[in-house]
Amino acid sequence: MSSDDVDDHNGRVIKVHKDNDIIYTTFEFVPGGSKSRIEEVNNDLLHIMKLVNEHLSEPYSIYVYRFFLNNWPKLCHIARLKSNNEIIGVIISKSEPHRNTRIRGYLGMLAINPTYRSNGIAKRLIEMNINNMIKFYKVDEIILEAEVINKTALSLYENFGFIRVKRLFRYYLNTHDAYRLILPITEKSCIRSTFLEQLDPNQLEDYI
Amino acid sequence: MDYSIEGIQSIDINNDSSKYIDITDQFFDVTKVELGIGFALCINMGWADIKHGEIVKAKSFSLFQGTHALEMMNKRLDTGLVELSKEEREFDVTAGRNFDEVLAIMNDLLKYLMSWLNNSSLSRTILSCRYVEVLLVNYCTGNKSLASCRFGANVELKDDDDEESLLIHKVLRSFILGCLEFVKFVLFLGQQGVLYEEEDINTTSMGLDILSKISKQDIINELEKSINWLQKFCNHMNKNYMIDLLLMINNLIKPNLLTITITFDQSSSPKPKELLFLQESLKIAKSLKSNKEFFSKLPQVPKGCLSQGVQRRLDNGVPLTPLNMDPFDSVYDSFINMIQDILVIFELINIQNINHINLFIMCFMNKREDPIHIIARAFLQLFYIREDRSIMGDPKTRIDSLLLKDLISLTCCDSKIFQEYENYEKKGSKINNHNRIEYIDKFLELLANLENNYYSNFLTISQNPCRQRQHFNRSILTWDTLQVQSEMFEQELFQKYNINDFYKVDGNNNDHHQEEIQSMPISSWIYYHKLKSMLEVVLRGVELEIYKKWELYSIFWYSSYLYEILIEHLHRIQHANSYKKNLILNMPKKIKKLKSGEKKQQLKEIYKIKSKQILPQLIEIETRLEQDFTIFTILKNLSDCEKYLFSILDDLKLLELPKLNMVPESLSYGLKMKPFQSVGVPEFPTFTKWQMVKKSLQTNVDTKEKKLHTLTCIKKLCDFIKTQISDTITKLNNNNNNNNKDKNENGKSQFTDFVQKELTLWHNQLLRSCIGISLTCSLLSKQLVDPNFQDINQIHHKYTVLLQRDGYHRYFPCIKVVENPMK
Ligand SMILES: CC(C)(COP(=O)(O)OP(=O)(O)OC[C@H]1O[C@@H](n2cnc3c(N)ncnc32)[C@H](O)[C@@H]1OP(=O)(O)O)[C@@H](O)C(=O)NCCC(=O)NCCS
Repeated sequence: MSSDDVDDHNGRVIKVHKDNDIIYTTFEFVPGGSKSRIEEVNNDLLHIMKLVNEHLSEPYSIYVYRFFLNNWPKLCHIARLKSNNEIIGVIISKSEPHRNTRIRGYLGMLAINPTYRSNGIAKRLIEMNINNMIKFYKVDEIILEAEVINKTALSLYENFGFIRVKRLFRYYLNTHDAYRLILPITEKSCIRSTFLEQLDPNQLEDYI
Repeated sequence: MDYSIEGIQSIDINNDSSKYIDITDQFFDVTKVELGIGFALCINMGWADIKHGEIVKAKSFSLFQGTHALEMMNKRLDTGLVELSKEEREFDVTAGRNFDEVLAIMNDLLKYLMSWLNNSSLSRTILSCRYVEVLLVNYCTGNKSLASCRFGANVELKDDDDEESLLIHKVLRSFILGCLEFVKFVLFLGQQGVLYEEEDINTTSMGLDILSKISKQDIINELEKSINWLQKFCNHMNKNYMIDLLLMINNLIKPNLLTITITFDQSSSPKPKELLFLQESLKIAKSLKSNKEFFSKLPQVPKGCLSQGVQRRLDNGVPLTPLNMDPFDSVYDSFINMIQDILVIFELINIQNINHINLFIMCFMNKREDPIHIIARAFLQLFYIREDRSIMGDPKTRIDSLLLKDLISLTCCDSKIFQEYENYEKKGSKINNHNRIEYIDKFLELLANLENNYYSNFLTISQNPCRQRQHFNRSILTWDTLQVQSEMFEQELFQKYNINDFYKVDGNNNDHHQEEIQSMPISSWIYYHKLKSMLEVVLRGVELEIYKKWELYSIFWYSSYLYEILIEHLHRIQHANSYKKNLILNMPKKIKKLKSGEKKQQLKEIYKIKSKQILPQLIEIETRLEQDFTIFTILKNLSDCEKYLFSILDDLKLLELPKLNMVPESLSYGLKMKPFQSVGVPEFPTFTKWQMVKKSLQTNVDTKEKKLHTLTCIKKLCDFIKTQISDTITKLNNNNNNNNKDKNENGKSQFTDFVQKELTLWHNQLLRSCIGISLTCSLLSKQLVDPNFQDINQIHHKYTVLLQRDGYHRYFPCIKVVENPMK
């Protein structure tokens, strides 16, 4: 992920009482339902897309969202304002086998409405998301990419224990380098895939 | 549907009914029944039988494939939505233009060309010029002849036609052809797989063929015709600028650089004539650059000439991107750098010794200040190792013989294994026939595997620093495997056939008994390279800021540990080498003792050959080992300084771990050390081992007095390193002065100007780091007696550790303990 508004941390922030004012949930995209329910879901999806689009520099098509949301419904978390249901934060991830030897979670998108930043919302969303990856997908590690200049995001992730494993040259369209970060969950994360056993194909479906 | 969108409006479906078929009805039909039609997404489609949110797709189609699709009507992704101004839509590429306008277009084209190479794409740069687009489209849709490269109807031009028309159809056209010839060359470099698409360069050409069917000579002719015409017929007072631009491009594309050969082991090859063109181009670039003032006063290019329209009209797989033109100065600087960097490569003409060539390449790969231009990087790689794996085009030196030279230049000189191989070729081996074949097969197999790894090492020449580290990371695995293979091979040779290289050292007892130690020359060479690769991964990790400060403690400990092992290994190589050397030097004594006869005569012959051919090589290796010792010791000592400094910071609790850390420290450590986890020798330091090391380091610094004492020791070590580095720099300078006077016997020198400059810079930066560390120690000694520093549990609240990199060596940042601004 790369961000357009890395330094967007000025006086505009609003302090909220974390647990009372905000609701954290997964955003499970369930097909069908009543007309009003459909409208509601559509509306939410549009908001999520808008939030990500505005704050990440990489443009994502609707197909990218659907790829994530349809395949890993438990790995999309949102934060809403209790007062008006507005979505003010979102995190979207996936989980897949890596080289058929370990399960790798991938944190794809994270964005918080600038007005509500520095309230620990991102921290909370990441925590819930990681927990779901561990609980439902039994991930061995979680990876993500963050721009070298996105100090806020880097310190946010590094505080969770993510460590930098490689630097990616001009990873983003806008010519900045990025880091690949990994959060190791099991020992498997510390062993080169060449030396790991192949995953059991019968169990593979449990993971993805 | 809304047909007001530009672009859709302009497609006349009826005009070419064979090309477009209207499938709207069928599309709606199939989406009503659940058939696989690829991918239809219907969030807002109330009309179909598809349930809300449901995805209709063929089984074979994965949603992942869908993520590569460009979403229509999405402003950030659908380039069809770009709005063009009237001028852009109606721009006339056939109309004549006045001199200033044409010169302005040429100026911008040059800027585009260099901006493209500075991490942009063709569509954002040179292809966004209407003239370039039209010319290429005409060429591609025409018969791909030179005549089809034109802006409009084919007009026969005469030298005395309307000047404005000639400026476009003759001069601008030839300039564009020249630029495109260069683009073609760059695309060729790109296709060779030596550059990384999107990281180093962007080669997508929007489906256009960049003049593949037009010969370079034809383009040169067109450029020369334009130059002649300008000289004879154009009376414009500023025509020289235009001529210069044409000449600059002409001289850039003229030389056939990849056909130049440099022969190894031969006296200085003459400077190829081709280089004169580059020098001329460089000269013109410098003079044009000095006329910035003039160019800045040119009028803007005609409106509509440069446009995003091409991103809409032609094949385009990426989102809409703004045009990208670097400023005048940086364009010329990068043009000048590009040529200068290419010219530097030809300093190779003056070197012949394999170690010095390796050194040259190492300096080239490691140049960080004014990094080597991307084109020169790619070029060196292709120039050095040709398609047929020959080295610099020398038919006698291929990568396999280079590898042998390399083996011989470190550990395998005069080795029994190699002698046996030569004997085999001469059919004089002591192994019987059957076994001999087995031996030779194994030997050749080992060499082939080595060669692959050796070859892939050279592929890093053209890589960016991030990729280089990844390469070294992967190579640890291959070196490790090769080491196992070669150790087995060398053991077997010893056990089965008593083919063994060894050296003798004094035993432990005082009985003058000498111990025989197997030197395993091939394995030893591999081990040397493996250790170096491991160190590259560690230290380049520091350079790329992979490690946070709490990780650097163990990292510097590890690098010091690896250097220690490498230095020990060098000692073994050195022992083996001196043993071989002394054997030769002692031969006359032996010969003297022998009675005259056949044996004496034989030994005399052997001595003659060895002292002439082998001895000089062994002496050269000795020199090389000494140089290695010096630099490795410097690097080890610097690692030690950092390590000890970090042990103090750790004890002061200044290397705090992340707050929310969800993972145990052992896992973080394991992940960080993953590149080395599988390595057998040297033994991988487990987390427990590291904890033990840390503990023992801590006992040296767990009181204020001990800390102060350690800081004094680090400073002393720094002083020692400083003299080591200064000595090396002095030697480097002397070396080159001598070189300039008397080159070695082949007329080739040791270090080229480039190597000399880079090595000096490298050492100067090490010196800076050393001075920086020493100052930090002084500062910290003062801080330690400060009242604020007395309560160990409070220090990390009040202070924090800063890493300063600017101005210091990239492997050894300077550490500062400063007051924490947050607290
Ligand atoms: C990065 C982003 C998600 C953080 O959201 P947030 O809700 O403000 O973050 P939190 O309040 O949970 O802060 C968590 C941690 O982030 C870091 N952080 C937050 N704001 C910071 C700032 N202004 N400067 C430095 N670090 C900051 C801190 O480590 C903080 O932990 P702490 O409060 O314990 O010190 C948000 O700024 C954003 O949406 N940015 C744009 C999109 C983006 O960059 N996404 C990530 C791409 S990889």
